[in-house]
Amino acid sequence: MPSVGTLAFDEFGRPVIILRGQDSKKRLFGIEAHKSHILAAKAVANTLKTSLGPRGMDKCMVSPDGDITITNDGATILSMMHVENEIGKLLVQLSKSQDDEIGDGTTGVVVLAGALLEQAEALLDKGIHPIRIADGYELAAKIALDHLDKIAESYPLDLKKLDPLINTAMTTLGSKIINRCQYQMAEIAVSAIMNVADMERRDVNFELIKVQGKVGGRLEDTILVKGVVIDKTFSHPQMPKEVRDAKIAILTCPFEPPKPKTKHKLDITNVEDYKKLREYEKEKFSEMIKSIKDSGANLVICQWGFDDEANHLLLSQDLPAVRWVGGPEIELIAIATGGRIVPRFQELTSEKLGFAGHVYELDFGTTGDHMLCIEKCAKSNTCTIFVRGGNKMIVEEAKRALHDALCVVRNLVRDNRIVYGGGACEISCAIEVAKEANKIPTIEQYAIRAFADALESVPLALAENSGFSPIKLVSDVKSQQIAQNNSRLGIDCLNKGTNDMKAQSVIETLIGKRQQISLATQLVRMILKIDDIRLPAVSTHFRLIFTIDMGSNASIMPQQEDLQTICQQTGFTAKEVQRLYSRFKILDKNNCEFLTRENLLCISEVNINPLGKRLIDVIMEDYGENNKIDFQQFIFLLAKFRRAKFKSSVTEFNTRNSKLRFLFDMYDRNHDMKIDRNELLEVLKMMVGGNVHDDQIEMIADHTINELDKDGDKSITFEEFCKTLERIDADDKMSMKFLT
Amino acid sequence: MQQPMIIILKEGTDSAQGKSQVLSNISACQAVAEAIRTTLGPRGMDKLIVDSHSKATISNDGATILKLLEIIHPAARTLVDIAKSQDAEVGDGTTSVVLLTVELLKNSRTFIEDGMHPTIIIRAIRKATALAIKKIKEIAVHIKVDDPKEQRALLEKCAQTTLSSKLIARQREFFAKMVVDTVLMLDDLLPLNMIGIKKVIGGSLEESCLISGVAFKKTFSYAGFEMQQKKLLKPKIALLNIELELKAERDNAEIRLDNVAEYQKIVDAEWSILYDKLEKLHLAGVKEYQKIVDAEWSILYDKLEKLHLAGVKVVLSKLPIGDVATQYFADRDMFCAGRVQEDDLRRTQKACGGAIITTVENLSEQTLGTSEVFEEIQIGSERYNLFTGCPKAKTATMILRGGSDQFIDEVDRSLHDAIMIVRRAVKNDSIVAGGGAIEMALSRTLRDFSRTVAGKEQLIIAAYAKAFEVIPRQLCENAGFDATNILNKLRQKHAENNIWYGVDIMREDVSDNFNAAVWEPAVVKINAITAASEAACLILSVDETIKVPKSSAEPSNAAKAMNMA
Repeated sequence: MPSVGTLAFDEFGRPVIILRGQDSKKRLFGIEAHKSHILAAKAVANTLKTSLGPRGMDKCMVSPDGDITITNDGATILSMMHVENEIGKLLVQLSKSQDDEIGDGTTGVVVLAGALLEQAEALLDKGIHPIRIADGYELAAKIALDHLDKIAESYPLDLKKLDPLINTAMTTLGSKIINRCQYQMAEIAVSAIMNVADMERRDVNFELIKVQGKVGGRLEDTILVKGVVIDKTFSHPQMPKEVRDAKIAILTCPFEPPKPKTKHKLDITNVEDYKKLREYEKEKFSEMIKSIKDSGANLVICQWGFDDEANHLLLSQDLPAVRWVGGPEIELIAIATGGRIVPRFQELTSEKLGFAGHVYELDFGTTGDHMLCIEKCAKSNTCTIFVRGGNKMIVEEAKRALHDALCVVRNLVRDNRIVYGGGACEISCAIEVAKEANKIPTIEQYAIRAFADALESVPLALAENSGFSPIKLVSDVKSQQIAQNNSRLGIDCLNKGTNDMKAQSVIETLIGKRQQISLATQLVRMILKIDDIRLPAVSTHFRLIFTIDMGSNASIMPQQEDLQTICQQTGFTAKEVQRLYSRFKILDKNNCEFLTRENLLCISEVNINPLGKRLIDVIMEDYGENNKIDFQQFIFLLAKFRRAKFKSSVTEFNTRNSKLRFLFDMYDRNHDMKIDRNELLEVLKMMVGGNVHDDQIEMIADHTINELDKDGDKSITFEEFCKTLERIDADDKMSMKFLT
Repeated sequence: MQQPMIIILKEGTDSAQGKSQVLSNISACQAVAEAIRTTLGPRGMDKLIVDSHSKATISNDGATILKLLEIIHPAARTLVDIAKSQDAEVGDGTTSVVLLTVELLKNSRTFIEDGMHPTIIIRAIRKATALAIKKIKEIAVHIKVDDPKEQRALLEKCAQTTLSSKLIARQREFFAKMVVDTVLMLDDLLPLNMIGIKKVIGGSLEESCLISGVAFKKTFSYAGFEMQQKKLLKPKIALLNIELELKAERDNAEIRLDNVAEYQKIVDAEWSILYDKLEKLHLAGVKEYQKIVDAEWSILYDKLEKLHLAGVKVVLSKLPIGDVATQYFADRDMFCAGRVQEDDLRRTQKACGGAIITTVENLSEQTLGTSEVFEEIQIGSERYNLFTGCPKAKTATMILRGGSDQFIDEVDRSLHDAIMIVRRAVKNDSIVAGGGAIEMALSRTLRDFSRTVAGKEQLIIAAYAKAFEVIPRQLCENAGFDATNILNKLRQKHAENNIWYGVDIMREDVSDNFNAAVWEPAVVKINAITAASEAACLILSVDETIKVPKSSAEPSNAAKAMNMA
């Protein structure tokens, strides 16, 4: 432990305590700190690498509550991974900030940062000062950014010709699960943005676009509603399902008799009073309805609920109404219909009503679910994208994908300069940076060259994910770019036959790319600048905890076929085997894929158990070999302790007999299927320790054998052993439970 | 015969004394200095500290690091205190002050071991300190401030020197300009609380910007907010400290109604019931249901109307603004924000004029503020309310951008240092060269002086002179240079009276740092030297530590019991 410096000694050689709890604090210093950062960052970046590009794979994440998320959105994956390492957390934030600012390219930014750190590792080994590496990276980033500006092209932004925009959106959607209906989704995204875009201020207010999802139907059923869709229905089943030319009263007051907020109490002392109170309430209701009628409204949208009585009155007055509409939705409706939100009935006037050409209930299949659709509004600049899909995960992922596409289109509205994707601009920048590197006279030159290499990590990952030979393809493209002086050449991930990204219309926004490069560089600088880490207490914080725990260990983990045989034989589910494997790996401190006696002794329960040593003897001799036990043997051992509560869960391992046999073996060390006096004595001595005199133990042993021995051979056979334990519920006492 | 033991101190009290105590204190301080030694200078590194609540801080600021280390050793705590005081006084140079103290102690150690009395050492240190400060004042260069352009250049260079050791060293020109702009925007008193620093995650560093006025994050809003005006020109601004929400006007008022018959009559209850009327109603015991409902409404509406009639366009309140009020304002093209942070509100008041008022009676021109433009804009994923072109614009807001929380926090700390330095430099226009130059100059002066002193003090002043060399040496070590070589070059230059020669980090050599524009305000150095020598004297003069054990076991038992429960 390189904690030199925190320990000081006084004249008598006693250590002086300087920091609170200094012995429990963990400190990493100097090059070790750098190495550990880089390792952590690489681990995070590697999990994301395979998600990059149109052939990138998705990740499935299971939250502690068992919710499943399937996505290939970098920011989402990282935020659900619950990374605990501090450096890992920085990367998570990096991807989140890219998400906040740009909305797309969240995977790319992490991959780039990971690659930069990986390159830095080699430079650190050469003995270059970390700050000089960071300086070099920043110089290189500047070169790359300038170069990006140079190769960027201005993009025609024409309200009448949306095709180019749709192409850009399609690039973003290409890597997502919904690329089946890529064109349709892209079109929806573009027209949604165009609907709300403020071309003069070059701004898009995202609050005006709502993305609603509903499970059911097909992805192709996804529609764009130029209006508002809310997950509500009319308050009374007999109200009309469709209203044309609706004049909408938007209320934030409940259909209830007024209540003061001041604490109050109403004492009713006689029947007369009670009747009067009812009269009063009734009158109030009819007054409310009347004020609505008077204003000329023919549809009521209310933030709060109605009394049954009010509901009935509304129906009888031919006033369709919707209740419990949430705050943001009320606001959207008000903006869309040009109405005003009215906080009390007295204020309701005809000017404050909103207008919608067509309000109707949508119903879906046989589920009986309904949604309310408000279309043809007075001010049509709000819109709702209504996503359908076969299951919840698809709908959620489609929503995220649409969000990315919306962001990209918005960025184009803000700044219509673009660069070409598919790794084209990264390769072009890498060439430029490497060229400039030679002109730098100082050590930073190395860092700049490393930066160029790191930039290539994106096209490399793209090629790799698409199943090409990455190095060959990237170097091909690189040489072509130089030969043709054409910065539009990239990786042809989809095998379209051309690697000219312009022909393929693989387009990314300039601001998105710029942001990726500068954010990654700045973060890397921050990480490189740290040379001292102090952590409280031990370990827990220094482990990367992934929800997908197995990631890097997958190759050593039993292979799929093996896994299935294991599952069949032992009756464990695949998930349980994985859990046990992770437990196994934690015990396996030497990381050599088998456990030794020492490893098992590390389990504190085993260590303090008087029979612990004996237990390990049994495990090692009967289940393992040469004092080692590997995972397969380990799991067959544990299979004995599986619950056998139901008939279906009984296998050859976890029968009552086999469980008792394990116990019997604890005594019977010479395997003659008999526990003789000496064997019993040995175990008893272990159990009582030195507290009881040997004479007494011998007495107990003799006594026990006499009592249990039925056939008079002065030893206990397995049958006799089982008989004694007849009344013990072996399944209950000898089972392990998986915490779920 | 056995002597009876006399017990003076409470049992368990730890006491250590004598020479060994002084020495052990010195060792403790040295251990602490190790922790921040490597943060010094442009090639200094950062520390990542995770506290017990697993909150991570990444910092290069000596004071911040020491604060987070949770030092419990009593002598070493002194170091934390001087770092803090340097931070409070001048804002920068917290690492160097600690290094200087420890180096002084280290050099005094041999004398203590040789049996020299600490008071002699202390006296010599005091003498040397006075001499060093005199020397700084003598050689510090005064820059004319009458020329605003020249002053600006000076300030920017000072800010850049501070920032060069920070995370944002690469962008130091950008931020130095921003910091100077900020400070120059303030009034003569340069109050620090008039500078708002807002952090928005996302974007790159260069997207940080300075707003000459007030900016704060959009507050929580109710339905109807989106329909309000988002850009207003020359609005009148009301700053309130009242709730605009329907609520029970008097918390303890309970109204008992037992007369239902009244209900019928009071359905058309009048509207204009004011607050005092409610009071009267309440006191008079009138038990009418509707009236109370109406009264609550009318109180609110009354307030809203007054605001509207006074021509107010923007309403800011420290307390919540409810949905009714939000919609009321939306109807009248007014903007409102409730639950505005108090310091933001106060800065708005300073910038826009007006007063924070607790009633809407008597709204007048004096109580309302104004600004050229009010606007709500989107920054990253957050929305910000911006007031610019304020008539009394003695306030500024920096909006910082960056890739992560810890990143922006560190930028914030770095800019704080730079702001403090610039403030100092505005008030005090004499500067010295940094990069170890001034330390070498002082070292040489003291060494020359020591030779003229007879007696033991000679040795100590010479040791003091040597202690100053720790700054250039550490700069070299952090940059990975051969420290001995560079120091020899520096000593030689200074012996030839080139007083501004310091370490040149970029070229691994020595250079005239005054010409290279590595400048620091002289007052920073003066403060650092004073603080360091005082702390050193303090630690040297302690020869006994008595540590009383934590008071008996009962509280800990109680704590255990708590845990059990």
